[in-house]
Amino acid sequence: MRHRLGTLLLGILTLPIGLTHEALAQATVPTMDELYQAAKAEGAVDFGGAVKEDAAQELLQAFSKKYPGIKVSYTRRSTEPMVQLIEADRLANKVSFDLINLTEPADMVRYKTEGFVQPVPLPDRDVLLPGTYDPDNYYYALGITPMYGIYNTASLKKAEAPTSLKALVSDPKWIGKVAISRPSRGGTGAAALLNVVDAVGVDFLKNVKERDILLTRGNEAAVSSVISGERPVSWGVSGYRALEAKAAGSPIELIYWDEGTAIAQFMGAVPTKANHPNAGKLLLRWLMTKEGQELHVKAADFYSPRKDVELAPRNEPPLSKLKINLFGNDRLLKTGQELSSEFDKAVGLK
Amino acid sequence: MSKLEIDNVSMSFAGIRAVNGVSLRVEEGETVVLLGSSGCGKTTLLRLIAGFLRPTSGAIRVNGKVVASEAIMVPPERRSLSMVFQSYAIWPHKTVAENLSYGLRLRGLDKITTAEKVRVALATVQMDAYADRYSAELSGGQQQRVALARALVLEPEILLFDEPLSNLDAALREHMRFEIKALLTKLKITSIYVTHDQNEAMVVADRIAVMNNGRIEQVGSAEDVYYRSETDFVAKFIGLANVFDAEVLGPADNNCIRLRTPGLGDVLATSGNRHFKDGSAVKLYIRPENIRISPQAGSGENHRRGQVMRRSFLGAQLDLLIDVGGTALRVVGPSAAGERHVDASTFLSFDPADCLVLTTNQ
Amino acid sequence: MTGVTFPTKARPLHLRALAIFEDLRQEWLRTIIMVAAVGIVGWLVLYPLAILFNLGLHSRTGAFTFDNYITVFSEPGLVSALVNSIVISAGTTVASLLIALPMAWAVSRTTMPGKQFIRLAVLIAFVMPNFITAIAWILLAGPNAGLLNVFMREVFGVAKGWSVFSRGGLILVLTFSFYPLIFFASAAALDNMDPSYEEAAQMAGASAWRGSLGISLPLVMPAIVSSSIFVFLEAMGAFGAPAAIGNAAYFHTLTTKIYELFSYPPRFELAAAAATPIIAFTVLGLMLQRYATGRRRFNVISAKPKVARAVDIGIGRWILFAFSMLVIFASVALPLFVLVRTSLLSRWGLPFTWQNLTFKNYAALFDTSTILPRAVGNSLMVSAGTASICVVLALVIVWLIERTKLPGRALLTFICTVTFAFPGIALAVGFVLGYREPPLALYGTIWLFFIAFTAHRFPFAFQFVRNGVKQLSTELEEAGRMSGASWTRTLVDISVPLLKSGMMAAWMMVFAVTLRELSMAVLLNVRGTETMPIAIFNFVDNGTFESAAAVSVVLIAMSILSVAILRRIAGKAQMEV
Repeated sequence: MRHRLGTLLLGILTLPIGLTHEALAQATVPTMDELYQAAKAEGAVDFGGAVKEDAAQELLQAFSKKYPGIKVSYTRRSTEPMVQLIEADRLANKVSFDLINLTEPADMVRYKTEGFVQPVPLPDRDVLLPGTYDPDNYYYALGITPMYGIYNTASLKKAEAPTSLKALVSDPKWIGKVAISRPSRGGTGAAALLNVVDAVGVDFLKNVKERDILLTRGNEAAVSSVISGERPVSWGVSGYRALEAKAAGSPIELIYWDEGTAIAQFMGAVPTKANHPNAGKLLLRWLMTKEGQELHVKAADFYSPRKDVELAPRNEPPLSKLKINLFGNDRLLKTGQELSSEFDKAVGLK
Repeated sequence: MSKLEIDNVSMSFAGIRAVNGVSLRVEEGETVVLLGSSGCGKTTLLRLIAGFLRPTSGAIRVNGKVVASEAIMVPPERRSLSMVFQSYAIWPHKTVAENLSYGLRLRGLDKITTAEKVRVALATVQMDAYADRYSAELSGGQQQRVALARALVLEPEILLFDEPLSNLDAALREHMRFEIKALLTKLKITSIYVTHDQNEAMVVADRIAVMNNGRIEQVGSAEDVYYRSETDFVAKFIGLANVFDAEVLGPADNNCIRLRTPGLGDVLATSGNRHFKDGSAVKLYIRPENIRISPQAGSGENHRRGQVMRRSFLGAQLDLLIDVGGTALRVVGPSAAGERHVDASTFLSFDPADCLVLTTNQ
Repeated sequence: MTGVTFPTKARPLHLRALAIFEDLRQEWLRTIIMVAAVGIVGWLVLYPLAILFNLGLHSRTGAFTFDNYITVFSEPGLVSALVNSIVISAGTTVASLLIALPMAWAVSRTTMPGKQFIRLAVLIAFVMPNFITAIAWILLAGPNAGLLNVFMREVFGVAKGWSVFSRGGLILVLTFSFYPLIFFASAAALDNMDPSYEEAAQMAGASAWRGSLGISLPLVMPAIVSSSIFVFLEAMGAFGAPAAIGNAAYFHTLTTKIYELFSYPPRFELAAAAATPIIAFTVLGLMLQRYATGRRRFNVISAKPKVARAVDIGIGRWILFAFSMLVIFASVALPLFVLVRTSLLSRWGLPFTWQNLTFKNYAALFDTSTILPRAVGNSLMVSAGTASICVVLALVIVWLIERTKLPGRALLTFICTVTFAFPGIALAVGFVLGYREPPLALYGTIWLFFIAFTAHRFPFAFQFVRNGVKQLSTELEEAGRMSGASWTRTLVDISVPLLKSGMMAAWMMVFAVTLRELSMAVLLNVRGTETMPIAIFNFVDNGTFESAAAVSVVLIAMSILSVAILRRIAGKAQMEV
């Protein structure tokens, strides 16, 4: 059986390499209507992602209204458990989702090379911000979000809050005051770390253990640590979570770093062996339309990778007004992973 | 056809023969006691009969029907036996009456018949007043009776007893053995009774099978094993005996032989119709209660003079240790036989008929 | 036995075969039941383990290799993770003994007040998932914002509080999760003990204290040893609490290390290789247990149970009462308080004021548009089913091990115990792989939960039922056979009623641990097969602690309720858990 799995893996590995470019060149992009008819025949679409439950339901309701006759379902997992779920499925030769959504570039790139996901060409790909999509159309950022710094308003007055990453990682007064999601546990954390290294230089990793940074499992726990006051500051948490928590009345405020704020991407892709591939493609393409993106911004508190969507979540300034650092997947994948690994080594987790 | 036939049965655990080539016949209505010290194999033999163990070789037959052999193993519940356990094994979750009726109901008896049989069985052991009690509410002796009733009510082909009295206090034990004997005699039930207590064995048994090292050393009536022990083990195990190494000098009158012992000098002993070669090494056994003591010197064979070394008054009996020319002799006699004090000089004698001679093995 | 040893004379093979066949035929129902039980347990346990071994011995391309083992053992940090696991598990065991033994003795043998309350409270500590305990303790003893540390700072001016983010913190959380195992095992053994031993010690001039402590504790040593091994192995296999605390305190345990091998990118074959050494600990534990209990005789449930007289320890009873209350306060009341408090807030982190209070988090449990009602149903069904399957299987297997002389019983014991400390998440991989293709395509269905949980939790039932059977005099069963009952009838009519309390205890334990089972469910669940711990995990992951707390409170309430129902069914006297 193990042997069969092996051959299967080999097959998967070799198959898409030959396909990639020629296949795309020849592929004609079906219209939304053609896709809808095919999707309707499939009858259902299963979406699995990191978008909050209620936001996803809002989006899917709008989708159902526009494309009736397709049963929608949503399963929420943040990236780490989602990847486990997908991997368990893959071990069992099953595919649970027609559209997946992850923050981890490494996994998306791996899924692309392993042929687990398939290309979905977009007719209007040019309107997307560069670096927010796969040049071969395997995945797209469904939403992008700043990795805001946040601070606890009960512990710190506005004037006391840090504004510069440099100060945050060098001033002794911030020792034992910072909580972050462990960078090696997901792409968002890695993006935030990359941003810090770009701002202050890689040498800070040498003494990072003395900074007594609280490492959490995932962004939400980092936000929670700041809300509870366990650590008054974070150098970067997923923006949509911070916005949602702030709106819910939690005592936190955002920090736009002097050195610029990292941007994290939430990428969506359609599995090659999806049970309802056309429905998955339809949902992905609809989410990437201007209409879908505006809804996504409003419902899920993300910014849009579309240049023609000016809308910002929760009355925050539009993206164009922010000092942002958008890392391409290549850089995030290579340098981000390296740095995360260095970070683990520096604190003794590797 | 005997009720129970045990035919050259052996049973080994991990290379050790707990039962080693045992053969035994038990007749209808007879009570046979398996007597021996712990580890002699008596309980193993009982469990082989019960069907909890399978013999390594040999066969066991009940009413001529094979219940255990190399090829056949009838499970315990189909052997028509019942058993009184050492711990009584009264099921604590059932009342006394339920304990008794369980087996009857399994045999498909209706409620009324069952109730009647249970009542009779409980009356037999005088426990009819306790039918609705649980075991935790009974004394040890009462539990013992219930266990007996539970075994009796099934009207088994053979009733097995596994040291049934060993958990009772001394007085009750004494009493119960007579009661059990009376019951077995009255009901004429074939039974196998395991015990390590020879007094119990002698009371209960029609025949006693003395066991040692997985073998039956001797089977016979209480008198047989006591007076006519056939092996060194039996002679030493049953009752007390003064044991002497001896050499056969030659035959004498009245079915007797003359022996020479290093400690007691020459002794006249009965040969018991057995032939002993002149000059052969034998053992001489004289039971303490067979030695008579008297203040006056007697004459003839087997008279000795000695000095009291130790004196213990045991109520009805006097237990003395007497030095006869450097050899210590244990003597037990009626207290009335005379007031002896330590260091007193005394005379003793023993009847040749009470001197048992056995050939030394090897 | 002073028997003579003989070289075993070989009987003709065909005769021996005939004899064995005859045995089997005579007791055909027993044979079928036993073969079935051994087959099921063997399959449940060995099949996924074999898959894992196989996985660990092959490269990604399917070639046979030892590379995975080499990689794992040369992986930097694995050794230190292993050392951490051993140190933390040993610490947890020692701390659990220190807490549980005085409490168990006090509850079982003394005149201390509040005994029933303490037994119930300890049960609550046991059913609380350890990742929930961890979260509660992070909220309580976080170095800066932990309620206790804030309290100490504001009231006593203690500047630097105690941090739960440490090895000590992890030991504390694990101890509070696992000490009930030692408590229940020793209390049950003490309850069943013959009090005459203690009385004898008192006659010999020992004080009531000394007599009871000095005599009773050594006598129940087998129970103490085996439950201590349980605690050690449970701590080795724990994942939730180490994951929540370990990272934050910059250290790994073996399980968190294994977990890392599952992601970025997932290396299942390495995880499989890394998990196998834990089997060695199980073997070691078994050997230790055998050594410790081998020569001792177990107390026997005799026909006449003696009622133990409680030892009057004077002022000591209040000292013990205070100690027990302190333990319960820390292990049950505080975490439960944090959970209930959080569950009533409209948004966790808000101040605890009237306008922030709500029952909406509980109402969600009935909201059919969420996964919650389904999760509650799944959890109840899977836990009750798993517990029942485990107990029935355990009864047959234990009988086979304790009451027969069949060869291979040691191996069977090992099989019945091997999954105990095996990290659930690694074991789950074996199940996903093993049940993905027809005719075993159960992955994605709730049935795989029954199978996997039974395999993982069977050792619990096995140990509890085994202790019960060891205490049951064989003569009670033999009396059944002599009365004319077949083996099966005796089992049903005699053994089962007499083992009721042991089986109930086993059922409860398995039910409770299955109800809180997370590490396997994380991999096994798909949409539609969520359980309550999965729902809690998702809420925590989602940052909605208020919902997580509400589900946790309900989960704990369900456990307590099921104990109450069981007690009612079994009769109080029969239930000592």
